Amino acid sequence: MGFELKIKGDLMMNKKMLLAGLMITSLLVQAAPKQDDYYKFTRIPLPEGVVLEASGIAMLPNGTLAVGTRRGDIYTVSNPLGKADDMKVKLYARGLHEPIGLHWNDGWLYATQRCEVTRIKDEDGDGRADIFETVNDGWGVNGDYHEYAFGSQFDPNGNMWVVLCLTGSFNSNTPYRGWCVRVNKKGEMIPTASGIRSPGGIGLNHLGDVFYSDNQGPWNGSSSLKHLKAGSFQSHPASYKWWDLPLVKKHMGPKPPVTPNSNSRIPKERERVKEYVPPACVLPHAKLGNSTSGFTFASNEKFGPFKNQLLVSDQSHSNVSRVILEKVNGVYQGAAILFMTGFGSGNIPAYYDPSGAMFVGGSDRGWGARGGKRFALDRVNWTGKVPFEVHEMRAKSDGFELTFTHEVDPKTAGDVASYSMKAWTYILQSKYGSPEVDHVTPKVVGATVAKDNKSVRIKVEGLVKGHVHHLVSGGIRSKDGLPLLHPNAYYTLNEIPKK
Amino acid sequence: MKSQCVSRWGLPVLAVVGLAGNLAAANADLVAQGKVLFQTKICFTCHEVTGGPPALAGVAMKAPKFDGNFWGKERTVTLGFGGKDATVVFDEAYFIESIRKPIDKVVKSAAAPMPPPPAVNDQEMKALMAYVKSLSDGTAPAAGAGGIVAKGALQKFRYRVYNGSWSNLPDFEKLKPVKTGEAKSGIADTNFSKKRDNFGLVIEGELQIKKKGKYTFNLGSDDGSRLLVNGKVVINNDGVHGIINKSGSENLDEGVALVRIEFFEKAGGEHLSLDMSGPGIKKLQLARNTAPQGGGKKPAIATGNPIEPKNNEAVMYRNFIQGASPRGIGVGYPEKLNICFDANALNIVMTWHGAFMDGAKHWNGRGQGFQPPSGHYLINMKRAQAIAQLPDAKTPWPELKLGNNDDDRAKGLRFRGYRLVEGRRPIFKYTAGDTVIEDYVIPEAGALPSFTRQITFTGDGKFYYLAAADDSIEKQGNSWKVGDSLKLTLDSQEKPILRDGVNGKELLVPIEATGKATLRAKYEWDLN
Repeated sequence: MGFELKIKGDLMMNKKMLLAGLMITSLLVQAAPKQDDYYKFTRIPLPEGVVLEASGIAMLPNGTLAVGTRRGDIYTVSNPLGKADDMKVKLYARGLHEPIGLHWNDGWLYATQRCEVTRIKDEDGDGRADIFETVNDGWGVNGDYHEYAFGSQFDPNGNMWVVLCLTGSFNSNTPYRGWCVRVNKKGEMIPTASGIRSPGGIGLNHLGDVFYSDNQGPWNGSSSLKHLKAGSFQSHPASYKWWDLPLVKKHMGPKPPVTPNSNSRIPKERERVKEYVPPACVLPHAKLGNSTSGFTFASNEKFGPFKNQLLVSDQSHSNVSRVILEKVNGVYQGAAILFMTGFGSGNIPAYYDPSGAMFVGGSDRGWGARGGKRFALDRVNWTGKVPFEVHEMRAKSDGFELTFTHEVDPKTAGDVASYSMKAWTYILQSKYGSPEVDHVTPKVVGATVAKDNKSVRIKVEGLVKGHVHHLVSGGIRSKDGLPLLHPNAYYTLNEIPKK
Repeated sequence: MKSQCVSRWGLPVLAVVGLAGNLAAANADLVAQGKVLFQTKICFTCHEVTGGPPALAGVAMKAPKFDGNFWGKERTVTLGFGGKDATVVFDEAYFIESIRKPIDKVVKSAAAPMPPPPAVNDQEMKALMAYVKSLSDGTAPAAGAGGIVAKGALQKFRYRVYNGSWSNLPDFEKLKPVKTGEAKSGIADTNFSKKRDNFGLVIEGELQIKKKGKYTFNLGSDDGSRLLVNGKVVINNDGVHGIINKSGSENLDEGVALVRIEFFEKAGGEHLSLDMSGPGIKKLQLARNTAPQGGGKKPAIATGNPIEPKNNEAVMYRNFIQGASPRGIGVGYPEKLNICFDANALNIVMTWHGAFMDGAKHWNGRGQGFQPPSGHYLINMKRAQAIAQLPDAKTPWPELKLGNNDDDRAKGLRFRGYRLVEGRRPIFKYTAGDTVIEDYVIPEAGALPSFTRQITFTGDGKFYYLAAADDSIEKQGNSWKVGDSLKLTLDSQEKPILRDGVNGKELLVPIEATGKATLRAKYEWDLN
């Protein structure tokens, strides 16, 4: 501030100083980088009368984008990677039951409707679908609006993973509500995991492991991203009700897992319920969103240096966070960092096109969203400029390792005062949600910058197993003097690595 | 010293006076901001406000409405969802608490706790609160405001109930009421009629106007209504329709104003609301609707998103359709004939004429509940499976238990979807083992549209088609009269079998498929 004043005072007298002043000014401008410098949004223009409450997105082999809607339509967008003016939206199919999840596979467009997995084809090539084959409809649906079904892309073994929301959000009133089932291309259904509450999205990571998002509510203190694996239990015991079904017994064993105790904590119940898979990454309620939904990942470098990180959207905050996962002691865990905001409506599906375009669409119907539009479909492209961000965050036995997208200024990055940390967890309970509880303040006691200035090893006293560790790296500057575009990282420490 | 005091105190006093004026303006601004926030913070999706659009999600969640006189009043809550009962006063503290911590004190009548809204900052909170507070009609202690007598404002209140089916308001004066009465409530209500369909109401009362001026009335109804003040039509909201709100104004002198509300309900949803505002009154409720809605005898029917066949193509609507299982698939044909195929029962379970479906229930809010077919001449068929493989014609037809689990799915059959043929008409497909069954409806236009159902079997096996099941099935010439209003004509090689079974009278058609077999059955409306 004093420096600035001094320059102002000298300005009129010295041309050299004027130049310096301009340089400083440009530096000051540079000091406030914006999302828009790095990622550009294109809103897909919709013709009058098209209600595109996007619920599924898939690229068709002919280069048009198929978009499913909550009203049960599927539209195609031609030229989806080009200029907005050149896009055309056309009706492809109508009359599906709130399909969520749309995927192209083996010459068919797969849609997961509330009531079944369907594969769809335009056999006569007139641009409109004419074959709707029921692949599997083995689960129950009883007329409750909450009974959504979310279907994934096929996994490497040819299974689609489907998560089935509970009835309301507390009960399971018809078979397989609160379950994850797999559906194979033969049309068989395989009960796969219990404990689901209210999913917001499902998908695979680059390794073919399956994740889904579950929303804050009973047995879920906050929304989170969870790892689905065969035989696992995901927290809500209402799903145990269907253990008597022969198909469940066949694939899941004779008995349900131990019922978790309410008013407890996840690490404690993990010891009792051996099938319990803790949330891989909590997206802390009200901080990163209120309703974690669909996700995707950039399969290449065309979306910036974030290849294979999960790009997880939130319906209520109309944003996307990066979720950077690692496996510690066989359990997925990792950090969530806000990535971008400003989507048009309540984000539901996300799709990454390998050309370097991420599509995110949604609706705010029934569950409001910051975006403000009733429905929207946005495309995001990378400008080629790399924001200064925490690239990865990995747990260590005594702290964390942070890597960065740019070289850091070793002075600020090596100063423990540049960091602060808080940690908390949530009550595991049958009641709705949870406040943040068991607050602690772990202390950053060391910060060692690597020789290449691309990573920092921070030493932390007071890590707590099971807690969300909120690291604020507000003091760090890049080599060019920039602060982090998003200084907050939330790491879910299910396991503390051994030395 | 003294003069200094004056100057020191004088200025603030003036400022306070100025502030009072500004406060009113500031409050109006706050209310306006709050009204916008009520949308952007999605309060409106659940909390219905007087004169606002129906909050369908809120109906499902039983979210409290912001109408009537609620501010400063007590309400029963539970401490935590499903927790112990407690009483709170709906005041500023409770308002803020219920937004910041929606799960702590949940209104007892709500079906679910409020999901946390998008973050609300302190300034936004003030604005929201100002707006919500302004919705409270202030009818109770607003004495001295000098507008009108408060709650239960209609004096010398009389009503008449009529029975009849109309499409427009009749001349009630020429009709004989089935019931007349006086009501002390001072508030009009459709509940004066015991019937929930095909009735009319005339409600008359006096309003004590205390201040001369322009008064605005807001009349909402489903179906038609009109409002007369001092014998003059102020609002005409006539015709058969879903909830429509209309406004009208009238200059009234001090003294007595005669209010007359006329209303009729044909069928379906039912609604009546009337409020007024004017000099000294923010909002005064004159009519309401306490007849059982959704969940009661008669669910509220949402309208506003009609789905109709276009361009000579059939249109499909797959959703929760009242009268079918949750796997209902509606098909509307350009011939003005509609069917609902039930993918649990694997049969056509309903057919009707005219308007097809309305998406309003499922396309607004969260979409809770079952939407009944639009249109008319609805025939509910037995919810039984169409095809079964039975060892002989004496074996009982597989029984479907209507419920929430596998028991209401057709036995021995599996749904395989549908393909659309010319005019985007679906051929439904299901299988019995290796035999593929294709189910196709061929509609015929006319004064009373009809349809032929064509069922094709590809494969081998002996099957039965349940051509009809009803309390009465009688042979009439070459056809069958089924129930009250269906005429069935069979086109099949085999002789049909009429028997008594689990579905009442059952008319079975045997089919022997060797490679391929087709049967046709024509369904016509016979309203005689």
